Amino acid sequence: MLDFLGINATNLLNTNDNSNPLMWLVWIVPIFVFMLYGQKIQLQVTSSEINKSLEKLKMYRDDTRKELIDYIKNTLKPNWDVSPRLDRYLEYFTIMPVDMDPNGIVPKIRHIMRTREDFTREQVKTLATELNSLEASKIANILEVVTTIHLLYKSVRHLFLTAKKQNNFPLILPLQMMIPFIMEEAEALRDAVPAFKQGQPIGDGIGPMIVGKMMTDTKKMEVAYETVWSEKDYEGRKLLLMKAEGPSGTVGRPGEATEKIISTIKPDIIIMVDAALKLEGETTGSVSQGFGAAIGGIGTEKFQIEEVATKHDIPIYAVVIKQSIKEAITLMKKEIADASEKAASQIYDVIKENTKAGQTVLIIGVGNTIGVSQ
Amino acid sequence: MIFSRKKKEIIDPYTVEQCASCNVAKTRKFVEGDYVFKIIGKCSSCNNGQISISKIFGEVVK
Repeated sequence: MLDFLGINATNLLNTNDNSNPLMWLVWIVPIFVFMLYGQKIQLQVTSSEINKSLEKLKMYRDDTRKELIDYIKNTLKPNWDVSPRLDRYLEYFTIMPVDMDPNGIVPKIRHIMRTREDFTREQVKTLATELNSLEASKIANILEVVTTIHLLYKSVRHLFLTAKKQNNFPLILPLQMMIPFIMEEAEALRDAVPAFKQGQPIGDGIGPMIVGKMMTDTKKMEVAYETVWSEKDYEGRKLLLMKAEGPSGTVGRPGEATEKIISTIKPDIIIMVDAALKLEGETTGSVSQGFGAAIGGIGTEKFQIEEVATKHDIPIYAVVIKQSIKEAITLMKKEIADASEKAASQIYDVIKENTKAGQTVLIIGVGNTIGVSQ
Repeated sequence: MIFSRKKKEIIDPYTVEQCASCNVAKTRKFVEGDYVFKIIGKCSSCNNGQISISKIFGEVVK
């Protein structure tokens, strides 16, 4: 037993004596506090960090929303308040089809996504009577940015408040791990708005830029909605060049366009040119070559291209230009723009290595073609 | 410094105009309405080729 009554004041803080009761308490009390309240303390610390990120997300959402409203007011000059309608768009949701039986799910997803795209496009057109396709695409792109940031904000807030409400520390851990990636994406989206407003090419537009250069001085024809193609000869081969129709901010419909082209002219190989997310440590603007359909998005276009290529036994080659998520959706960096010559030269190498004179090559420039014509 | 705050990058947009015939290129500041492959006019250097926008890119202000 400890003798609390027999404490000698001079020995009270004597650190050499292990039996000193005060020093003993100094060690033992924090151990008990951390044993009993450790998770709650950690929850408080983590919560304050997440709360800061949440505040930032809210600020990004409000800033981009304001930028969109100001842009519409300054360019379209509507004589009515567009804010309530835009706020309604931000709350629209998409219900994915049932996937218990995944057979045939891709056309269902495509149908739902097309319905959403068509609806958004029509709604944007109602904002002004004389709205050209370039302005409409700029507004649609900025609206997409605001909607995505709003969705990120709502999802983070939901997880955060649920963890706080339940006082549940493990629930907040996945959010703590994910928050740096979420913030990186949100910052990239926020920084994308000026490029969309001014119609400047973004990093993702490198694929359409390379194919667009090949298409200059050729006759362009529409092959699918907002998608164009043309023919060109190269060292005895016939090149079929396809990209989204610029300089509007669109990705076109490469899947549908590929199906249509292949139904009339069967190419011997397909080459897809796209921007690809670089791994940490890789250099921005480095060019890589590989196999398979180089196309992002929800997967419906990729599925369509893979399906038609497999059906007709056409090999697919890919040439990609590496960049980060931020670089892909903000103003094209010099390193990426300068990589276009190297990527074009690799495309011609692929053509020469894999085809003979008299054969046909389909080259698809994949990506958002804002600020890039053809 | 390990704990110093990350400075926000300022990126300036530039437009490169190039002649299709003599390949003379000129870089200038981006102006709204510019887009890649926009035809600008005849080349004053060679009086033969057509000048068009070959690139638009952003560079970090140092």
